[in-house]
Parts: sequence; C-alpha cells; structure tokens
Amino acid sequence: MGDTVSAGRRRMRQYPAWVPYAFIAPSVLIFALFIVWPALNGFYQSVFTRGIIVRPDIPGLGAAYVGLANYERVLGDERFLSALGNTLLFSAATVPLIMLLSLALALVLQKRFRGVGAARAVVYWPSMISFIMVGIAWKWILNFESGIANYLLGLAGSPKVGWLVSPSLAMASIVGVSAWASAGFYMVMYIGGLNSIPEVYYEAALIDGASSLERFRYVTLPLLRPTILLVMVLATINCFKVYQQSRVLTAGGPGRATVFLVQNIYEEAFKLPNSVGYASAQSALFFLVMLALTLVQLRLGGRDGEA
Amino acid sequence: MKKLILALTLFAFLAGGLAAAPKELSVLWFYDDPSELEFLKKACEDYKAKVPGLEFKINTVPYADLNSKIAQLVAGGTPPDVVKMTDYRAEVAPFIQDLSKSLGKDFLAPFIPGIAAIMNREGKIIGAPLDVTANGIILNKSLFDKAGVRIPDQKTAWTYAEFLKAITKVRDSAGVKFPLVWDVTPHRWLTFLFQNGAQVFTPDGKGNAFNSPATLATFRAWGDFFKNGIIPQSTWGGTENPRDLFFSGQAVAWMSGSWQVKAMSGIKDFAWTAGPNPYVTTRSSVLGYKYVTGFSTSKYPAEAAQFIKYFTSKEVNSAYAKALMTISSRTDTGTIDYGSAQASSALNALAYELAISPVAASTNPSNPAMSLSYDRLKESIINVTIGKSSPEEAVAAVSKVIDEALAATSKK
Repeated sequence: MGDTVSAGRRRMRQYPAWVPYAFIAPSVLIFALFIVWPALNGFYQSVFTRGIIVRPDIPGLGAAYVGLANYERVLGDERFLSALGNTLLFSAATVPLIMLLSLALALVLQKRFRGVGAARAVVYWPSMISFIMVGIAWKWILNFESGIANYLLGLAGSPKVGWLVSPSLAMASIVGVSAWASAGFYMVMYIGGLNSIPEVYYEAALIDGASSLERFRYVTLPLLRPTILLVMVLATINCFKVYQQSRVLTAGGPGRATVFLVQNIYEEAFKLPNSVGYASAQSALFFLVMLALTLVQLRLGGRDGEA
Repeated sequence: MKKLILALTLFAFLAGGLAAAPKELSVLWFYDDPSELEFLKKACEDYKAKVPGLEFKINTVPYADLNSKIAQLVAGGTPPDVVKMTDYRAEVAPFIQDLSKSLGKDFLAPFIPGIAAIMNREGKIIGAPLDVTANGIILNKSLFDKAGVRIPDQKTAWTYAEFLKAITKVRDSAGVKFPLVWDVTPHRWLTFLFQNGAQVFTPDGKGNAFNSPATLATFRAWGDFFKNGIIPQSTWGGTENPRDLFFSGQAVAWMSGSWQVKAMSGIKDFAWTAGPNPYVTTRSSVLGYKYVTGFSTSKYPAEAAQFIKYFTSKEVNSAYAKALMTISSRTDTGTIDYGSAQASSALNALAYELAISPVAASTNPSNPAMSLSYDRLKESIINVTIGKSSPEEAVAAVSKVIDEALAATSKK
C-alpha cells in the first residue's frame, strides 16, 4: 500500500508545475472573457452617457463622459428604486420558501421507499424546464378569465381570484411559481448533504433517547449547515436575477408591481435613447448589492460554523 | 516546371472556388403568421433562380425583440442585409442604406403616397413599403344578429355613446361576457386618442401637442371603460389576451386591425365583420405599415437593394398581400382577390376607415419620437386602467416623455 502511494506521488512529481494551471486555463479564459471582462466593461460604460451604438463621427451617436452622474441619477430614480424594492421583496419571500420547501422535500424523499425515484424525478423535473415554459404554463393556469384555476374555483362556486390582476397577488404568484420551479434543484443538494451525514450520529442520538425532532434539531441541522448556506447563497443570487418568469407571467404588471431589477435594466438599456451608460450604472449597483449580500451571507455562515 | 504547374493549378482552383462562392444575404424577419415565413422562403428561392450566385440565410425574431436585436447587430458591426421593420428607429437610421442610390429616386412612385412620404426622409429612401395596416373594430356579427341589434353602415357609423349602448345590449341579450376587448398596445390606444380629436405632435411634427383637454378626455373615458365593465380589467390590467377572448366568442367587439383578417378568416364558430369604427369627435383609424430595408454597413448592400426591389415589386407584393390578406402598399396592384368575400369586405372597410382618418393618424405614429415614447405611454395607460394614476397624472407623465423623445430625436 505504502509503495503504491509513493509510486503515485513520484508519478505526480514528474509533471511540471504549470500542468494544473493548463487544465483550468480554458475555464478561467471563458470566465474572464464572458464574465469578468463584460463586468469590468459595464463599470467603464457606467460613467458615460451613450446609446447602444457609439460612432463619434456621427452626430447624436457619441459617448459623453459624465463621471458619477449616472450613479447620482440612479439613487433618485423612482423606477429603479421601485424595481429594487420589488426584487428585495421577491427575494425575501422566495428564498426562505425555497429553502424550507426543498428541505422538506429532501427530508421526505431522502428516505428509501417504493417509488422514491419516480417521486424525486417528479419534484426535480420543473427545475429542468426553462422559466419561459414555466411562465407560459402557469399563465394558462392563473389567467383571470381563461385560467384553469379560476375555472375550477367557479365549479366549486367560489368567486374568481385575480392571481395576475391584483398587484399583491401577482407578486405572490411569481413567488409561488418560482419556488415550485426551483425547489427540486435545491432538494437534490439537500439530499446530497443529508446523505453525507454519518448514520452513527443518529444512532448515538437514538441511544441517548433523542426524539425525531431533537435528532433533526441537534444532528441534522448543524451538520447540514454548509449545504444550507450554499442553498441560501445560490437561491438569493438566482432570486435577484429574476426576469424570465415575471416577463412571461405578468410582463412586469399590473402597472409596475412586478418589474424587477433585470427587467428595468434591460428596458432602460434597449428601449430608451442614450441610456446604455445609465443602465450600466444600474447594473453596477446591482452587482455591488449582490456582492454585499453574498459576503454577508458567507460571513454569517462562516461565523456560525466556527461557533 | 512541375512546381510552377502545381502552383498555377492550385491558384486556378482557389480563384475558381472564390469566384464560385455564393454571396449569402442575411435576412432578419418577424412574422405573426407562419405562412409568411413560407412565403419569404419561396420568394428567396424564386429570386435565387433568377439571380444565380446568391444564397439566403433567414433569421427570425419575435416582434417584441426586433428593435433591440437590430440595434445589437448594428452595434456589433454585423447588420442584416435585409430586414423587415415597422418603426423608424433613430439610433439605427444613420446606418440604413439609401435605396435611391441603387434603385433610383423614383423608386417609391408606385407606392401609396402617404407611406412613400414616410419612407422618404431627408432626401433618402429608407425602405420599401411592404404593406399597410389599419386599426379598426372587429364585430362578432353572429352575436349582433342574435341580439337583433343593427350594425350601422360604414358611412353613417356610430358615436361611442351609440356604440357602447349597442355592444352592451348585445352582451346582455346574447349572454356573452364582455362588450369590448382592446389590444394591449399603445398603437391601438392611439386610435381612441385620435377619435377624441387629440394629437400627439404638432402638425410640423416638431412640437408636443399631447397635453390637451382632448387627451385628458380620452384618458377619462378610457378609465371609465374599465370602471363600467366595458373592457375586462384582466386584459390591460392583467395578462389576458384580447384576441383569445374574441376568438373564443366571449367578446362582442374587438379593437385590433387589418393584420388579423387572415387569422379571423379561419373562424368557423361565428360570423364577424369589420367596422365601422365608433368616434367621439373624429372618425379615425391609425396607419401602420411594415417595410423592408437594408444597411449600408451590411456585407452585400447592393445585392440586398435589388432583392428588396424584387420583394416589393408589383407581382411579389400582390402575391404577398393575397397570401397574407393584407392591404398592399402599392397603388398599381389593382383589386386583389383575397379568395374570401368576408376577408375582402373587412379589408375594404378598414381601408375606408384609414382613408377618412385625420392626417395625424398617419404622421404621428411614424414620428421618430413616437417609437421612443410607446413604452411609457403604455405604462401610463395601464396606470389609469388599474387606478394607480389619475388621468391628469398620466397626461403629464406622457407629455414629459414626449418632450424628452422630441429632444432626443431632434439631435439626430
């Protein structure tokens, strides 16, 4: 055994030091090219007033340096602030819902029983469908006049519900649909986390007379903390990026009740004249908000882990 | 010597290969009816047979993404050779090729003068008109017959008071849900604005005429449509598609336009008819149009211009109008046989509404500042619909946006 390990180490030492870097180089290159560079360029564009097309030689198509004026404007822009408020509200409602729902599903579907594979697949499938399709399908269900939900309510003698007509219900509908579509994805992560908890801890707790609730509270939750943190960070990031489902389901309406940050930035950049610089400033602030939130979450998770 | 022969053979082969390489025209198209894409493909094939050495690469885009897609392609230096458009987009205007250079100054002579004038900007021909559209009221004739309510003739028409009374009576008598549904677009809403005698721009197109008592009256009456249950809240204030409600026989009347005639000709469950449009002070439709153009910065602008000429020629344009049941943009096509008396009658009725519309109904929507104002106009209309804004606030908000749009477009 010892000889085998030594031989393995000797073989590894034969590779030059740059080899591992060469293996990760394609990923780093793609990340730098398609993520880092556009992000840095976005920051750069945010200090200009410019449109989609910049041609200094053509009147009206130039780019004018405006310093931090775009950022000042963003902070007083009601449309941006309302979109930010909607996004915060959506995330505050959806992230806990996703975390609880996917954990509950994982706890149930982690167990071995007849048909567990099919049950897991049914829960996971919605996360494989694009949000566009999810939005279209739920629109058919939730439409006021032609939706299946109100049809069924009508059969039961209940009045119709304005799922997508009332501002608060429209927001609630997007929260529910998003949680439904994402829960399966996070459930798989939780199942992975649950499976990695050694069975001996549960056996020891059982011998000590711990109830199932106590085993969950004192064994499962502490040991699942890294997975919970991962799910929280990923769900928060994805919730902040919400666009497709709201675009299809409500188109941001009624009014602007469900316009979120990404939709606001897109419309600002592509539908208004000379607004790409301003939209870039919104994107930059969006990035900073996300970064701050992620750092806070990681910090809190790390501190808890140490304690 | 052998090397020389080999080099010459290789050169000849490469040169021959290059010479034979077909030119591939990129075409960017949007469509509602899939048969339009088939028509385009066939036209491209026919043209290829006439002009050897050409290939076509057709890309399609949803209408909602058309303008941003074009802007992105132009910004990226890869504009399409041929594109179908609706609005005049100021940001891409400097890159649109002047068709008069390839096709002559009188190229637009056979087209409807109003559309030709729109295509003629600052001495440049910016596109070839493809078709003309007219906004108008579509009525479920079967429901009117069932309720015993008479539809007035085209010339007499009806006021909104008469129209609302009639469609409410039909709704009650025939037992359907909605008297009226209205396409959720600001372009369709403009019809009501013009019917109230209001305008968006001053006659010279350079000033803002939106903030007026007539506009305020338009917004007030519009809000009343929803308060009084004439138009269902779930359309403008939700996500319900007015077209679906009309097609499923749940609405008495539908404000839409001539481009729906093809789809409506497939309705088997009830009889329908177009117009006459109701009015408040002014009888009006709204002019819409689609045109084909190209970019001076595209790969093959000269070849694109020739294809545009072919695609909007009398023969192809007549076939296009017939196949898609649209109003031709040309004056020399004669009476087009659409193969359906109902479709022909509807298109004639809608064309009549357009002919008696005020000038603003043609010039306002084609003002470059209008396309920049549509999104905020729609937002304000919806805010009035759901009671989030008062009509006064909506007028002020839209007026401000129009001022900004006029300032932005006047810089170009």
